[in-house]
Amino acid sequence: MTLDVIVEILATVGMVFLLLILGLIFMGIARKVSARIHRRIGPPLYQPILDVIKLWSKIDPSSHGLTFDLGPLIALGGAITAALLLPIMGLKLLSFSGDFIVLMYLMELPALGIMLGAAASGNPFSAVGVYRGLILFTGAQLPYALAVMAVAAEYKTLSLTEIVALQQGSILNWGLFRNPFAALVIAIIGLALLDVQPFDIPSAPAEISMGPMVEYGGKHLALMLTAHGLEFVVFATMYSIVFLGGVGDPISFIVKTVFVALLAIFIMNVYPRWRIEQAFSYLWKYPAALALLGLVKAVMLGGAM
Amino acid sequence: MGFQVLETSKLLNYARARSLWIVTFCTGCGGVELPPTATARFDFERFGIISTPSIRQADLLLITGYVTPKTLKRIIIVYEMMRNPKYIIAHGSCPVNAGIYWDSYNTVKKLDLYIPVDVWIAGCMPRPEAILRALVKLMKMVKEGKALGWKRYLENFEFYRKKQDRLFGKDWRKREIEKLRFYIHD
Repeated sequence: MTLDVIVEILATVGMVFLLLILGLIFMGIARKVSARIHRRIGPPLYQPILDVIKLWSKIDPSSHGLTFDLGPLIALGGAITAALLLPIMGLKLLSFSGDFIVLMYLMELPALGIMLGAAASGNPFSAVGVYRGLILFTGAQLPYALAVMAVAAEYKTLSLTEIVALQQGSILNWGLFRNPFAALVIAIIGLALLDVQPFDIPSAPAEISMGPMVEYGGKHLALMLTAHGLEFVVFATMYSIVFLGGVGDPISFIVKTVFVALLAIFIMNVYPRWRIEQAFSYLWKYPAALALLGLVKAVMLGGAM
Repeated sequence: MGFQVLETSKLLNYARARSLWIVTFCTGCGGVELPPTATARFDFERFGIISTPSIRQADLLLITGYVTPKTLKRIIIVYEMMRNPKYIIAHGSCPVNAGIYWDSYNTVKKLDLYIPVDVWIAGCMPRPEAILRALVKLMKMVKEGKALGWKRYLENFEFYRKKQDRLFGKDWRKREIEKLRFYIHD
């Protein structure tokens, strides 16, 4: 009995540590692949790890109060909790019957935590960034909720473990082929949640100098970078679980998550940044219509092909 | 301003050297040589160097042109907002000895009297190769723990402050903050 508990705790800590490192490596992959697309050499894959070590070693951190300090912690805590909900490589750490819905809400927590902390910093650029971020989130909510409902209606369950079980057998059982509309919409919304181009309106580096992150440096920024990398991995893993047939073994975990991440990186490098009202009207037109189609398909045809 | 202790070890110094973030505060005309240094041909990102728009996140301040007293005020404020350890590269002839503005009444001739500079680049303009050489030299100094301009600034703050006050007049910090009061809301 006690041995089981110890093993479970060790597995949890190990999994969190592995995913944190993997998140930073994913950011390294993003920088390297972007550099190759620009025909540059680019930094090594472990560059974000060096960045985080350097940021932790900075002295003289200036703080703007408790809320400012709590922002990155909320972001990292939300990302870690979301990571523990995922059934990865046969490990079910926090799985329960409704974990899909909880995961979908926890995916938004890192960006909200950063915005909460940024709003306390009193910098005008942060204020503009938070305002843009909240508008973008409002725009993303409608198609996001519709797509989540479509997935739930498609599988008739809200448990990630059962969703994986339902996709076994043939490659045509994957969520990508059962409900392509929902798969497309979640992929688009993921770009908005991960704050990458064309949806990096909140932290537009050239216009409002990193937006919410402008006052954050040193240890705060190290926490934020870690949380952002982890969010990237959590999103890629969630997408592989719900639409690409699950991540049962290490090889499929690596291949599928890197595939999803590479797609995001290519889109990020090809499309320029939208203005806020362009992004908002886009999100409420095409992804929302597609998600509604997906919902209709799931309800009318049920789980059938 | 008290004296601050910096933890040093081989790993920390290596990480600091391999991840210098530049704040893009380009004075004068020298900033035009930075895009070629950053893009495909010379690509300073392979050394882990990126340019960040936020002062709080930056490690390295590049002074890329002639410095007037008005600009110097901003440079000093930006430098003091950056977090320790922080480094300065003075880029081009103008910061070294005012270059072609050597007889101007309104150009700072000896930058080193007001802020500590770690590496100087001579030339008008310095080519991207020269900038890369300076960056690599700074990386080597950081790795060996020899880039201590920020420490000099803290230890000799009274000296630097006296020189700054002589140039700008007493209480110039307060006057500058009053100008920015409109943008601060807390």
